[in-house]
Amino acid sequence: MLARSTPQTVSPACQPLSVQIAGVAVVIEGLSLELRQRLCELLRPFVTACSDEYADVRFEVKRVPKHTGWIIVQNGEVRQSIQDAEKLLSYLEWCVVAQALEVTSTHAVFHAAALTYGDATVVLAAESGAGKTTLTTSLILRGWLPLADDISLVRLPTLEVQPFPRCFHTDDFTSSNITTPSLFERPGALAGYMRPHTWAPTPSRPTCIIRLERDTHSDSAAYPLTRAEAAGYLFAASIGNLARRASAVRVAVAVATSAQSCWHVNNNRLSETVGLLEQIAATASADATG
Amino acid sequence: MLHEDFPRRRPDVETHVLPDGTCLLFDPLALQGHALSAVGALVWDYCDGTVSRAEITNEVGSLLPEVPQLRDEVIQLLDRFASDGLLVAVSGESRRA
Repeated sequence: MLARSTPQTVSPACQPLSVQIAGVAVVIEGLSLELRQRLCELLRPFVTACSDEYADVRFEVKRVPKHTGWIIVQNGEVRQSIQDAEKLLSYLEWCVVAQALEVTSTHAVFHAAALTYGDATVVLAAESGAGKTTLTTSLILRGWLPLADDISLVRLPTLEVQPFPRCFHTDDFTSSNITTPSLFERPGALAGYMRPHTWAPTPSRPTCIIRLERDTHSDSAAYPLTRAEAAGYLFAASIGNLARRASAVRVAVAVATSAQSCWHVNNNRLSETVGLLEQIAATASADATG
Repeated sequence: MLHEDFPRRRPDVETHVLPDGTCLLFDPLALQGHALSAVGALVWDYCDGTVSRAEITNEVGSLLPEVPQLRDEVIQLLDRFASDGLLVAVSGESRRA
């Protein structure tokens, strides 16, 4: 709610921020210099010097004299009013990515993490809360290279997972497991946001599909999945509207049938799950080189 | 001064802003829920008794000058808040000079 006391002075906004995500041009305008700099840091891998005249998605951040917060207008519609600068940055970081991925035609989008380990490329498809980010950060600490944390982009038509260097959104538990903080930067001075310094350098085809879940009543364990099961789980993790999901069916089937192995992994104890994933990836990597 | 001039939300009405910018109001007296669009949530935000209907209408309308019907939407929302009993009366002394 508003904590309105006196009418605010509306500061002049600086130049728009342009980003390019999965082939989609997004422009954010109306931010103050400080907020623009912080959002620019959060979205830095996607920031472009492109002209802001053309945008597939356009956000305007507006301030008006009798409202103490920020009002976000997207493509000519009021989307949100936000009172707090931290929440504004968090919302914009999420919304810019979400809206770009909603309209991309160059990638299929899955709710999944993806990492490389040797010659293996492992996709971890899971619902929120299964431990994707905690596992991903733990694997990075052991030398794995991330392609994506929460959302994986599969390029069409090559079916390669695209490096997607978006900030990780971490909770206290995940942060407490990071024993080498120097591997991560904390852009935008925004609590709960961090980004690995090093990413997998190139897109790569998935070699292992993992359906990850977290059942705390069972030990960490890995069970083989059929290609059909893996395709089903991958499809269930697809993101987008109906038209996009029709394409996601084909992508999920193609990715699952071309992977070397597919597994269902229960993630109860972190160290045990990490060990299981390393075994799976090492086997896939040896198969790939052998 | 009547709430129709300087709308002020009832303090017991619970506001739940959803991630997509829309909003759910829960009226504990009537045991009724009211779903608001993002514009409705913004207008509800203004209803603290210090800003007049005209000021709210003008300010929200100024956000999207290319959408003239937005002003009508704001007026309808304020009328709806009042008719749904979600607003209280505000005395003249409590509002901003």
